[in-house]
Amino acid sequence: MSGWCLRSAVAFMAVTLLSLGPAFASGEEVSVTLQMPSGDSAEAAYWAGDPDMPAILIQHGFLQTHHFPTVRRLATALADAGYSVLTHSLTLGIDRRTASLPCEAVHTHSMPQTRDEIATWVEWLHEQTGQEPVLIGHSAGSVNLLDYLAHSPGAPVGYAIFISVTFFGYGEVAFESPEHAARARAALARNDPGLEKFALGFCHEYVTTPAAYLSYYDWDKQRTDQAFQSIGVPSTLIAGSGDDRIDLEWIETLRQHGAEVRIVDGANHFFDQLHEFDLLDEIEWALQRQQAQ
Amino acid sequence: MIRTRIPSITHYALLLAAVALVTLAGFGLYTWHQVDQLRGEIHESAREAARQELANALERVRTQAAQQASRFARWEEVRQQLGTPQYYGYWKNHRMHQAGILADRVLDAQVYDHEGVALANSDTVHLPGMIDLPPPDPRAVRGDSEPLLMVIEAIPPINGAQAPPGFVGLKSRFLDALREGHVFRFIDPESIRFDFGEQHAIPASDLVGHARFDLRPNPMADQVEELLSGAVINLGGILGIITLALFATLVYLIVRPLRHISGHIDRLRKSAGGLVLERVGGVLPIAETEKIRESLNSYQAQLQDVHSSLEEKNREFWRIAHHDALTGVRNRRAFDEYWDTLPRLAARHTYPVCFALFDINHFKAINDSYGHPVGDAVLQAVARNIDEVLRDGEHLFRIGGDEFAAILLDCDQSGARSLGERCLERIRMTDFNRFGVREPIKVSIGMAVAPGNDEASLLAMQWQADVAMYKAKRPGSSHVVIFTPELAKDTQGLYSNWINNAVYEAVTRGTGIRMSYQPVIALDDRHASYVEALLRIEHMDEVIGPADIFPVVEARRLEVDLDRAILNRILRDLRTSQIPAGLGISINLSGPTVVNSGIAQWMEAFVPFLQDRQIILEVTETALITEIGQATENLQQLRQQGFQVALDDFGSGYSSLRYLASMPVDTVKFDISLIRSLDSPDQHQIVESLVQMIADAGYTTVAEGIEAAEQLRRVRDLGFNFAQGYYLGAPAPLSQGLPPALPASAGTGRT
Repeated sequence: MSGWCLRSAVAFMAVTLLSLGPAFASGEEVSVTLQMPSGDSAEAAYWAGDPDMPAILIQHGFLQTHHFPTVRRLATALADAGYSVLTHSLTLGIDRRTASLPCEAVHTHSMPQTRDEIATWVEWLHEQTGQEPVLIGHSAGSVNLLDYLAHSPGAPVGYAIFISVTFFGYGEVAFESPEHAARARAALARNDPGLEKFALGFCHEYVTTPAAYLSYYDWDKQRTDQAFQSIGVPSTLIAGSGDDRIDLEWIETLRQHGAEVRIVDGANHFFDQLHEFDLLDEIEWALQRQQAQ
Repeated sequence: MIRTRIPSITHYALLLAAVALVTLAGFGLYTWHQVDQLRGEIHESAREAARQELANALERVRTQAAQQASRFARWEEVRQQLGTPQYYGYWKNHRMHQAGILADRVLDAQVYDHEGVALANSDTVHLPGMIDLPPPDPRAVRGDSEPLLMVIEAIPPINGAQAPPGFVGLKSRFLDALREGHVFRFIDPESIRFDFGEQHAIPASDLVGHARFDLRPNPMADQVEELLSGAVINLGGILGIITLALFATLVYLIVRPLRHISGHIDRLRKSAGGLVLERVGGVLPIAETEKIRESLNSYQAQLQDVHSSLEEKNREFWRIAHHDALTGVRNRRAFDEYWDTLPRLAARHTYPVCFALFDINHFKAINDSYGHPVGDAVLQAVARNIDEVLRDGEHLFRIGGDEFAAILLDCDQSGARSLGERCLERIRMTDFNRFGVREPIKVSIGMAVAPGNDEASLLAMQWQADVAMYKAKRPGSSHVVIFTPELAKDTQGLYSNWINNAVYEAVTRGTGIRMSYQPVIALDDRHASYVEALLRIEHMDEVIGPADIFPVVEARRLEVDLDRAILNRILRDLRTSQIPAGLGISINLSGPTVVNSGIAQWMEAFVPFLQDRQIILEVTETALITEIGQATENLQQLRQQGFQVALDDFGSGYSSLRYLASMPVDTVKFDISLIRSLDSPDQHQIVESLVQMIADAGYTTVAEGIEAAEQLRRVRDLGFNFAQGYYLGAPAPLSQGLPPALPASAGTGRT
């Protein structure tokens, strides 16, 4: 799968770059479209940075796009700081998806499909910069990155930062429940791939197939905790003390399990308002520290 | 000629009001028509604006529908359906409408693949399972309850591809959007509807042509129209009221006073006067009508004064016109008028009516003898006496110089005779000496009586009274004569047509004149007998005597002409010697001939015959006293030519010795009445004395009417120079030879 994806991405990117120019200009945002393994194309924003500075891939949260404000502000700030930054949108089963996908939409995407798309973009960034990129995930996007890292032990990733990380599967701030998971599993058991309404994350009504549902639901607190412990990439967790969408106690548990946790005092889940600078400071501090190591 | 009836002022006022009202109505209708036309233009303008408004609204709806379709086509979840069509049905049923992408008015939407085939699991009933490619333009289709707008939109291609990856179709209600999404100023949005006719679908761009709608009430236009209509109606009403008020005012102020004045004038025309026109203006008097009223009253007062004066004058004029100024009795005009009314007046009664004629005997002689003042006094006295005899209500009329007439109602023959005799007695008892008249004044009265209800008889009374008068005038007759049929026979000559014709022929042509000669015998040796020429007229073997001839001649004033015809006839007899030489001849001349200025010339032809005979011209005293001055002058001239003059019928009339003394007379012929008086013991002495006195005065005397030997002896004894009468010889034509008494003395020449 990795070989096909790479060829496809290179071929598609070549076509796209022809329209953009012979090379990426430093510090300028360019749009990048890559065809994903599913056949759909995905879009991304890319800033070519200082070759001596780390390349960064930023993954948006659940059902969002790379235009999500928290992601967008972080990307531009890092690009301004001289980093090569790539922030992309998952297709979620929609060709050239540009808008966030509502909970009520039909969700045909799954965690594996997301994993493949992240792999495609990591490989593209790696190819583009010759560096092992730093992966930054926001919210559920951190889970996507953990899934990717967990299933790609040799991935060319140098460092990972998980911002406002959370988990699926009956969390304290989520709506999914074991009953939904049980219903999905029962459907799978009777080989019923039809769409059903479930609750997932902050979505009360989430229409998807049982398999796709479970692919997210199974990334519960425990599996996430295990993923942090198992991935071979150094990482840092950044959370806001005012974030009511995550389980701060669980974050603290992760710290106890060896993860580096940085808590921004007063910041909420999206680090908006003045906390975006605190977030940037924390990331730059982490990157500089990682670069120094 | 047809008389045109002149309209009254009311008609003109009505006509004026009618013309004003018709003009107002015409102007109102014209204005109303203009308002209606303006209303139509406003309505048409509003309809055009509404049509444009609807077109704009439909365009907006189409644009919204297109935008809706475009937004739907660009929706990423739609492209998601193209990638995962297996979930299209669920998505369509559970997601498509709930996502908020489609408006509520979108009844249905459909996603088609690049070949125009609807994605699987579509249970749409509104949109077709397959669309034509390229997709048709938006169109409207029939719906169950309202028309629907169907739009097919291509899903935008990605990755630089030319062909669209698929299509979307939307079917929407648009009527509500049309109604609610646009502010209609001209259209009542609830009235918008579309007529598809027989078609199932029509292009959306043609919807305007199939739209039906009602115009929204235009308050401004309606208000303007209402104002205009109201203004027209109010103006018409006000002007109509003003016109009617003016008409009423005109009638009240002008027509009514004029009618009042006109009626007053009509009443004045029918009344005897004394009417005063009261104020005619009512509570609103007008100076002009008041002026007319005052002028009319003043004029009426003056007119009344004039009328009174005229009435007085008329009465005076009538009195003058109907009364004789001298005697005070009614005149000829009054008589004629009364006579005309007599048949109608008498027809109402059955009593007899009497008509009386009064004539003063020899009044001319009185007039000439005593002068006109005396004659007038005699006339006045006679008229007064007769009038006093008449009963109340009976009038005496002076119908001629000395002729009077009276018409007496309810008067039979005895009453008439009694009246006549009372009149005679009254006159006889009157003392005329106080006027200086010594002779007795006598009156002849001719009367006729007829039934009052017999108009023909009434009308004949004048003629009958004339006849009776003629009889009364005759010597020896009673002075009161009432007409009888026998009298008519006696005076037939006066009234016989053939006698009239014969006399007229004799006078004008000299035909029929046959002279008879009666001997006048000399009673002594100093005189020679002669003959008196007497007139006879032969006509159709009839001989007309003097009794019939002279009334006709006198009535028709033919005396002069007759005398000249007689003179010519005698002259012919003389010239033809039918009258023997030496035989004297006596010729009667009428009064008019005697006073004619040509008498001397006419007698010139006789002068040669005076050589061997005497020619005596006989005139009556009545003829002489008619114009005694002219008569005396003419007779003197004739005497100077050698003619002798004899006074005929002396004693039958006035026999005034004063007349006789003043007249140029040679011979006095005593009337038969005097000769007969010789037989009367109490009168013969007077006559004998009279004869002696006249003879002593130097006149030659002739005794007429000798009818017996005793009479001849007596007159011979009385010393008459001549005697004449049937005893001595009747008148006879010369063809029968001279009378036997003549030959002895004929041709003995004159004394």
